[in-house]
Formats: sequence, C-alpha cells, structure tokens
Amino acid sequence: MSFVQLCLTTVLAPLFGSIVVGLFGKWLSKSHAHLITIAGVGIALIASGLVFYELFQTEYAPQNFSVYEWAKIGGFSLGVGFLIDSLTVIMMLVVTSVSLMVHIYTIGYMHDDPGYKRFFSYISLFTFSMLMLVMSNNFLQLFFGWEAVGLVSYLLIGFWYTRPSAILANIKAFLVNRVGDFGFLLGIAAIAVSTSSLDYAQVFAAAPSLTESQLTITNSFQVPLLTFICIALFVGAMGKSAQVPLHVWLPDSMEGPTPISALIHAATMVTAGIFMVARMSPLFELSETALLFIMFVGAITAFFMGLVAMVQDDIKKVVAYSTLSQLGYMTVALGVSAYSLAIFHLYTHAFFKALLFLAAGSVIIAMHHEQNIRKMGGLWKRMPITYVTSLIGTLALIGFPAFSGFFSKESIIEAVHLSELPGAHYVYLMVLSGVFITAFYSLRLFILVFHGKPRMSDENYSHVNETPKVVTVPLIVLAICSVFAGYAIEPMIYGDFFAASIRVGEQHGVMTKMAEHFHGVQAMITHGFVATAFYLLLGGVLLAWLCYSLVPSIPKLLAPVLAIPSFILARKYGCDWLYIKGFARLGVGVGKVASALGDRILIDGLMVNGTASMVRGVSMQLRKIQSGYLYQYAFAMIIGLLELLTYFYYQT
Amino acid sequence: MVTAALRMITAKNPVHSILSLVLVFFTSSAIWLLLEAEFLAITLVLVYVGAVMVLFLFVVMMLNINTAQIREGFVKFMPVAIVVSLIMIAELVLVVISKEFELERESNFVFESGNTHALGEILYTDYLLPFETAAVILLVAIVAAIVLTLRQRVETRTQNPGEQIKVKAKDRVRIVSLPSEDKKEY
Amino acid sequence: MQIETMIIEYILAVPEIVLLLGACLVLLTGPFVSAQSHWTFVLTQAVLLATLYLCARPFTGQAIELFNDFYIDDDLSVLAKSSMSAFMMVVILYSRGFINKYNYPRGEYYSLALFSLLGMMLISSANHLLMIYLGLELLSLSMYALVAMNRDDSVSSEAAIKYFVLGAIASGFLLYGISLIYGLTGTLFLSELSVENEIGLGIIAAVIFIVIGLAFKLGAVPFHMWLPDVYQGAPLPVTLLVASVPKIAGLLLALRLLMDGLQFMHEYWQQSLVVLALLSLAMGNIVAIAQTNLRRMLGYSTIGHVGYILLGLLVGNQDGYSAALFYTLIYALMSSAVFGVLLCAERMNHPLENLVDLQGLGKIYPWLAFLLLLLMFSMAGIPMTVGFYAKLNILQALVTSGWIELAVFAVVASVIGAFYYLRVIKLMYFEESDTQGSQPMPAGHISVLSIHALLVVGLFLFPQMLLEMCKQVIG
Repeated sequence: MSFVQLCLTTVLAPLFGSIVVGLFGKWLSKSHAHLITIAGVGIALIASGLVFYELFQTEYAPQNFSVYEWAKIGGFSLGVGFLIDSLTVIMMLVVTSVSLMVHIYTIGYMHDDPGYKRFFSYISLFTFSMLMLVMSNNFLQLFFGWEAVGLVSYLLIGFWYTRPSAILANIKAFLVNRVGDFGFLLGIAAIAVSTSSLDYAQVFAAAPSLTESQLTITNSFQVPLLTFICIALFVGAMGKSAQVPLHVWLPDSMEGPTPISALIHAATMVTAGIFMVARMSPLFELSETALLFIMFVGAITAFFMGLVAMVQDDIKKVVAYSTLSQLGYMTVALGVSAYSLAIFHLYTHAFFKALLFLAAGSVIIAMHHEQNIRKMGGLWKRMPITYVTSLIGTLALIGFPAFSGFFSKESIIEAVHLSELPGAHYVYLMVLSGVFITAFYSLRLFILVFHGKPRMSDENYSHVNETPKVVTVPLIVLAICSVFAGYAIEPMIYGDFFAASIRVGEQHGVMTKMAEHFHGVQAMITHGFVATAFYLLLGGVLLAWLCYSLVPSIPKLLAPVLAIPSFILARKYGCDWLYIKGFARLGVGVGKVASALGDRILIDGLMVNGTASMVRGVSMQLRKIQSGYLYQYAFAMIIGLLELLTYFYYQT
Repeated sequence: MVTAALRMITAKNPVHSILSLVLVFFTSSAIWLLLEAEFLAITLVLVYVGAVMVLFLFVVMMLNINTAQIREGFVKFMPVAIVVSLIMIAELVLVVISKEFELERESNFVFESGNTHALGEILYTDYLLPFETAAVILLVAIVAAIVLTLRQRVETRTQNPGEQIKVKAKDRVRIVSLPSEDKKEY
Repeated sequence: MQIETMIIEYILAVPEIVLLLGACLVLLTGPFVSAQSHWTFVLTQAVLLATLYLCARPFTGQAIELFNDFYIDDDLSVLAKSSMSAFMMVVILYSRGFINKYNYPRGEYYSLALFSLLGMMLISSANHLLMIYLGLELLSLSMYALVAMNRDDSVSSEAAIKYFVLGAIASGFLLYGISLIYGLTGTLFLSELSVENEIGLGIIAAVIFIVIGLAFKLGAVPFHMWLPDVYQGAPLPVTLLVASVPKIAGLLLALRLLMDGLQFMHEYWQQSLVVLALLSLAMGNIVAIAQTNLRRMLGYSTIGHVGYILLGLLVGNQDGYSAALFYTLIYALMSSAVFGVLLCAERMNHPLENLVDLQGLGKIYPWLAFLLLLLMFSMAGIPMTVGFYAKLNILQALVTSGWIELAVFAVVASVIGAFYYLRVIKLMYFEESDTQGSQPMPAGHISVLSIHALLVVGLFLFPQMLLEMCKQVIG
C-alpha cells in the first residue's frame, strides 16, 4: 500500500464505520455496531502506526500531497490534502489510540443506553474529523475539521438530549466556540487576503515577507498584519482549547457521557487549539506580541482554573478544571516558543487525563451514577484496579518524578524559567505555584474518593463492585502509557523529531538552552527530586492529606477565614454570571428590539412580505400577457423584432 | 406581384385569395426567369402552382371556411397592424437602400452548359450534405404527416380476419369449476 | 486521393450516418413487430449507444472541415454530440413506460426522436448557415410532430399548432437574416463571414433577424410564447424531450452562429442579448410564481434559465461561452431529471400535473420526493448542488468582464426564482395529503433516475472535470 493510500485509509476507516453504523444502525445489532466502529478505528490506528514507521524510515521528512481538488476559485485551490510530518503523526497516534480505548470502554459504559449505536457513530465520526484536522495541509480543510469536531462535540455533550442541563451545556459549548471560531475565521480570511493562498506551505513561505505589513482597520488605526493573524487564530484556539475567558463551556460539557469527557474534552479535541498553534509555528514565531499574549492567557488559565478545581465536589468537574489548568500549561509552553514541549505535554496528558476520566467513569458506574465526591470514600477496598490506576494517573498529573506528567510539566516550567519574554518571571511564579495547586486538588479528590470512611449507607457500599473488563482493560493500558510515555522525552524533545515540522525563531532560543541543561532521563529524574517544584508538590500533597485524611475538621475550621475566596471560587469568578446574565441577556435584549423593530416591521413587513406581495402582484399581471391567442403571440414576436431593429437604427 | 400578394390577404373569398397566391408564384417565377434561372422558375411553377396550390384549392373548397368570424378580428386590429407594418416596411427599406447594397458582386458561377446542368452538378458535389439533409427533412415531413393522420379509429368497426382465425375455443369459453357446496344442517 | 478524402469524410461523419440509418430502421421495424413488442425500444437504445460510442473521442484541439467545408468536426461538436446522445438515451428510457401505457405509436415516436437528434447533431457540426438552417428545420419538424402526437387531446393539438406557426415565423426571420448575410458578404460559410467595409444597417438588421431566430429556439422573452404552452400541452415524454436535449442544440446553434460566425459583430448582438436576457430573467422568474400548473411553471423556469445562458453568451469571451455551455449541460441534466420524476410518478398513477398534486409527496413517495428536492435545490442554485456552480460560473464571467449590474440583476432574479422552487419543496414536505402510495416504483426507471438526480450532488463535489472540458472545447 502506498503512503497516500495509507493516509487515506487512516482517515476513511473511521468515517466508514460511522456512516455504516449511523445510517444503517437500524438493521445492525449492538455487537455489530461496536465491532464495525472498533474495526474502523483499529484500522486507523494500525495505518497511523505504519505511517509513523514510513516516516521514521525517511527520517521524518515531511510529506505534503494533495488528494482531491474540489474547486478552483480565482487563484484559490480548494481541496483535500495531507501534510504528514512528525507533528501530524504524533497527533494521529494519540487520536487513534485514545479513540480506540474509548471505543472499547464505551461498550461497558453505555451498555444499557438506548442511544448505543448513535454513540458509536458519533465517536467514530469524531475520530474522522479530528484526523482530517490534524492531517490537513491547508486552512480550508483545517477549518472543516475544526468545525466538524465542534459539531460532534455539540452532539455528544447533548447526547442525553432529554436532560435540560445537557441541552444548556451543549448550547453553551456551541456559542462559546462560535466566538472562538469567529476569530479563527477572521485569521484565515486575513491569511487568504494577504498571501492569496490557503496552502500551508505557500503561506509559511510567504509569511516572512509580511512582517512589515500593516493591517488598516480604520484610517488612523493600524495593527501589524501578522500579529493580527496570529492573535485571531489564537482566539480560535482559545475557544477550542478552553482558555480563559472562553473556558466556560468545558466544565459544563461534563454533562455528556464520560467516555466523551475522556475522548473529546480531555485528550483530543481540546488539544486541537494547541496543535494548531504548534502547526502555525512559522507564523507565530514572527509575532512577539502574539506570543506574549498566548503566554499570559495560558498562565492565567493554568493558575486560576487550578484554584477552582480545589473547591469542586463533582468528580468529573474536578478533572475538568484540572484539564483546563493543564491546557493552560500547554499554552504557556506555546507562548515561550517551546512548541515541542507543548505537544509533548499534550501527548502525555492525553494518556493520563483519559485515564483519570475513565477511572472517574469507572467510579461513577460502580456508584450507580453518583458523581458527588462528598458521598464517596473508602472505595479502594472495593475497586482495587480502579484504585491503582487512578493513583498512577494522579501521580502522573501532579508531575511526580519518573511519571510521564513529570517530564512534560517540569520541562515546561523550566522553559518558562529560561524564557526572555517580558513578564516571563511572573508567569514562572504562576506555573510554579500551579504545581502546588495541582497536587492539592488531585490528592483531595483521590483521598475523598478512595480513602477514609465510606460516606454512604452500608447497603450502598456493599453494592459497589469492581467494573467489568471492558472498563478495566483500557484503564490498565492507559495506566501503563501514563507511566512510560514520558520516557520518550529524549528522542522527541531533544532529538530531531520535530525539527522539520516546528520552526522556532533564533531570538527564541528556549529549547536550545533547555538542551544544554539536559543530561539524560536519569539525571532529570534525580534532579526532579531536589527541584523547587518537587517541594511544592510535596507541600500540596501533605496539605491535602492533612485536611482530608488526618484532621478532617480543618476545612470546617478554616471555612470562616476563607469565606470570601471560596465564595469567589465556587462562583468560578463569576464568568458564567457575566456571560449568561450579562452578555447573553444583553444580546437577547438587543435581539428582541431588533426583531420587533427591524425584523418584523422593516424587513418582514416591508421588505420581505412587501416585495413578495409586489412580485406576486406583478406576476399575476404579467401572466395575462400569455393570453393563449396565437395571433397575439406572433404579434409579440414582431413587436420584439421591431423594437430591437428600431433600437439599433436609433443608435447608428 | 405586390398587388397580388395584397389581394391575397385582403380577399374575402378564400378561393380568390388562393388564386391570387397562384399569381404571386407566377410573378416570382417570372422574376427568376429574368435572372436567368430557368430551371428554378419552371420548378416553382410546376411544384407550387401545379401541385401544392391545386391541393390547397381542393381542401379549401371542401372545408367551406366561414370567413365572417375571422373578419371580426381583422377589422379590430387593423389600425395597429397598419402602424406596425408601416414601421417594418420603413425599416426594411432603410436596410435595402443603405450603402452596403450598392456594392457590385460578381457571380461566382460560370455556366458552361445551361443552368440546369450546373445546378445539378453543384447539388450533387459541393452541396451534397445540405442536399441530403433536405432529403431527410422531407422524409421526416412524410413520417410526421402519416403519424398525425393515419390512425386506427376506435369507433370504426372493421373485421380483423387474422384475429378471427387465431381464436381458439379456450379464448371464448371459460370453464369454471365450482366447488360443490356442503349441505348445511339447518 | 479523391477517394481517400471521401472515405475520411464518411468515417468522421459516421455517427450521423449510423443515426440516420438507425432511425430509418426503427421506423421500418415499427409495422413489422407487434404493438407490445420491446424491439423498437431496444433497437433505439442500441442505435443511440452506437452513436454515443462513435461520437465520443478524446479532445484533440483540432477542427476538421468535411464535405466541402459544410461540416465541422471539432471538440465542441464532440462534447455536444456525445452529451446529446447520452441525454437522449435517458430520455427514451424515461419515456418508455408512458409510451407503453398510453399506446403511442412506438416506431414513429422513437424514430422521430432519433431524427430530431440527427438535426441537433447537424447543428452542432454546422459550418455553413445553410446547414444550420437545415439542421434546425429537421429538429423543429420532428418536434412539431412529436408535440402533436396525442391528437385526441385538444390542448396538445393547440400547443402543436402554436409551436408550428410561431416556429415557422421564427424560421422565416432566421432565413431572412441569412439571406441578408449572403447578400452582404457573399458567403454563408461561418468561418469566412466578415464585411469589407464599415458595419452598416444591413448587416445589423441581418444580425438582429438571426438573433431573433435563435431567441425563439431558446425560448427567450419576448419570443418565448410557445414554450409554456408546449410544456403544458405536449405529452409528458415529449415535454421531457423538448426540455432537455434541444437546449444543448440551441446553445450550440448560438455558439456556432455568434461565436464562430458573427464574433466580429459581437458589439451589436451583445446589446440585443442583454435586452433578451434581462427580459427572460425577469419574466421567467416572476411569472412562474403565479402558475398553478407544474409543467407550466417549469416552462417559465426554463425561460429564467435561458436568461442565465444568454448572460453567459453575451459576455462573448472564452469564460462566458464555457460558462454558458456548462450551464446548459447542467440545465439539461436537471431538467431531464425533473421530468423523469414526473414520468415516474405518472407511471405509478400519481400524475403530478398541478402544484397541488405535490402535496404530501414526501410521505407518499419519500425517495421520489427527495430526488425532486435535490433537483429543486439545484435549479434554485443552492450550494451542495451543481446548480450553484453553474450560476456561479456565469456570474463570475459577468463580473470579470465588468457587467456587474447584470450580475446583480441575475442574482435578484434567482432569489425571486428560489421562491417557487422552494414552494415545491414546501408542498411536498409540509402539506398533508390523504392519498396513499400503493404502487411499487418501476425499478429500472427509479434506479437510473436516482443516479441521474444524485449527479447534481456528485458534480458539485467533483465539478472540475466538466468545467475543464467546457473550457477546453471553447478554443
């Protein structure tokens, strides 16, 4: 099979599965439905493995080819094409492998759901869209994938469409993403206008010549073109990757089934923004302002969203806020030009966050869909496998040395430390304290769920059992990945892996400096035990242990003292309030006025219905011309002839 | 010719107008004669006057068209028609008297042995394709005419001997086996 | 030498020869087989297939003139002839059920259709005004006969008479124009037309007469009067025929006359086409709204589409011509499919004569309704269907050559037009009906129809090849 065919197989196999199950689900049994989709994703995984192998053979030389040209409009060629390089292939592997795990896990999780087949169709469709997104070689296809994953996410958040909260959440996700997509589209439009191409290769080639260009917004107000493009694109990434202030949809999206929280809202879709920025590194490198903006947005997200996670009581919400915080870390890495680290963190995070989500799901199944951690406790005896795998996931998340999260997060913190961007030292402080926060909320969650006395009736407790194999096997596989994924740091970050796909400007030498400090994995782990971050981590762990295990009365004692901060945190800084009561209500108000005045009276009344009735009237009159009399027809022809003749006679 | 043409459309009696049309053909064939196109002139007379118009005359006489109804519209639309046709005539006259027609063109054809022979030679060599096409058109015209007129009227009763001979006993007599009913106890 | 050139001539014209012989054969078969026999149908399709096979050849970019230059064989004619034969095959296929059901004289029906195709092919290959005229007459004569086929129906006969008389007048105009041209230029060969001195009234008048003859054939306002009557009055298969294949021939007629012959008069015919196009767009789209008869409505919609085609023509450069060609091919595709739907419904004893007949079709025959929905979308030019591309191309050609006002007008007209296309969809899906769909769909008909109608989506996804072809043949 040729390379092109391999790539096509990767993309089309999940699509095929999705279509078959989606359209012909009626005639398929449940087991056929999951077998078909799992086969599709499995083929995609194997094919991406082969793609990786082929790429490995050619030493990661990027492969850029176009598959199908849809149309040519003016100079723009619109079509489908693939750009396969190390960045793409790592994303392909992450997407397909996590997706496969989720497919298998779903068999157990959704077992009795009436929308079983629909669900499989959706997640396969999601896999297809995500692959289209990451494998694209042009902005149009990128946008297609971007919107397609958004659509599937919308469908899946509202999967249980009879629940009002799910509907609210999916509308919220959709609207917030629309804000981001608007920026994204503006960015693409600006690229299209300034470079008259939508092809990555051509755009990147043209980018250096645009550094001096200005974009005139009004006559007196100009912004540098590239800064505008980069920030606009990043606004899109903010929507998809849930960065402050467009983060509000992600916690709510936990309304969807847990596998989705794992697949879409932790491991893959939310990383699309990170991937996109890394893919556009040749553009972003040219705009200092944009990088600065990205770094601060990331730091704010990492720090403040971590704080919110500390007060959440819903098991999935805690993990969701932790996802936000981790995405913040990735964004910070992008901001300091450590793109490879961002992708590396994305890659390790995909495993341990999927693991945590699935573990949470496993707990939820065992608890019969109870999600409040205040009502759990002591589960470690009843669910040993979930317990152990969750422990591994938690250690990876807090960045305990030798676990995968350690390598990526520690490196990011180090990269920020070394960065020379203005304000980087504030950011450094923020990400560093983030370690403490992460450790605290992760352990809080872990202790509340698995340790202590069961805070439920004995009868319920006795009913809690370990979940079936389809659930635990993915957990184990992901746990293994979560431990070992980090060891790829040496070839991936300090080797030539990303050399051909990520471009870093000379002025941003963070990674070269990092490389100088790197002396192998062993040294890094040893150093990890004496670094500042480790002490912060231990502090967080100990504090959580103290508060929730040793002396459970501490939180209650401190409650009056921390009333104001916890009020703010519980309200999530009032973002929801501002958006729903503020923007949304304002929007609805303006909409109502506009609808009453402009739409109903002016447009509907006068223009639409007015024109329509006018056209109808004219039409009724005109049809009378068609009298049916032959001589009148002939006469009309002769009149027509005469008019034309006279017209020209008059002219000459 | 112009008088005859006018007479043709104004004549009250359709037979008169057909006769005027015959006159039109005669005069135009005379014009062709003057242009030294003897063959065409003769064909015109033979085909149009001799065949077509005679048929026309038969049909008109047989149908006995009532002209009064047609007249009504004629008077009503007369003024408009006159205006329109005057403009038309004026414009066509303008065309004909324009300078372009003052050019002298030499005839391409050199007659060696009379124009019938020349015409024949051209028709069957240079103009073979148009000629054949014209033949196909005539064929289609015949087919069309037959399609539109020949039909087996449903209402006419005719015998079809073939059908009658082919008929078998089976077609005429249907043997039905009726199940004998059980006697019911009342 | 002489013999060799003659053989080459006949070889290149072999599609026409086969078609002619085939038509005669079909005609002769008619009386010799029983009325229920399928042989005439099979034979007709075989002839068409042979013609298609012989026509289709790869593009060479060369033009060969044959039969003393009366006949031209170039890429344009190849594209036109192959598409016309292919469409004719589909048309015959759709017509078959109707013909059988109402017992039309088969041999005559099929052979007249073949003769009309022959006329169209001759137009496509014409390099001489006389050939254009003869081809046109062959086409028209067959059409008149076909329209009048159902003699017992007064509407049908009335339509035929109107068509015939008006067609004769239009032919008269055309012929008058041609004779003026001959008088002024001394030749009738399209490639040799030119005037030595300045352009005067005579040649202008000639061009106008020719344009009018053309406008009649295409059905442009104000020479469109025959069109709605014929659409409504003719038997359904004949309407299907009139509405599809001859449109391609009409465009070829226009291309041969205006592009090959009278390009030097571009300035003049352009202005008259502007008038015709504007009137057609306005009349077609506006009057269609007031129609209650579905076929009549489609007739007016045709007039609107003709307006679009004229817009492409009047641009008068490669972009414009190829856009018009693309539009016409797509139009023929859509139109034949729409009438295919109508015929399919008719075969299932659910005739779609008036708009009210469409009520609830979405429930009665969901698949048929869906196909009609696609076609209506395409006719309205809504994206995801190829109709969008067709319109877009025309508009692009207009805008690039500076006719922005016309482009705006065309867009407004198609917005108005969207109204009645969407009304069809509304009737099908949002109105209730008590009728039950009991009849099974005729399998062959519906499968070909499905592929045919789905092509409007397929060509939207893969338009490049056809677009390229249209560009390529307009050298």
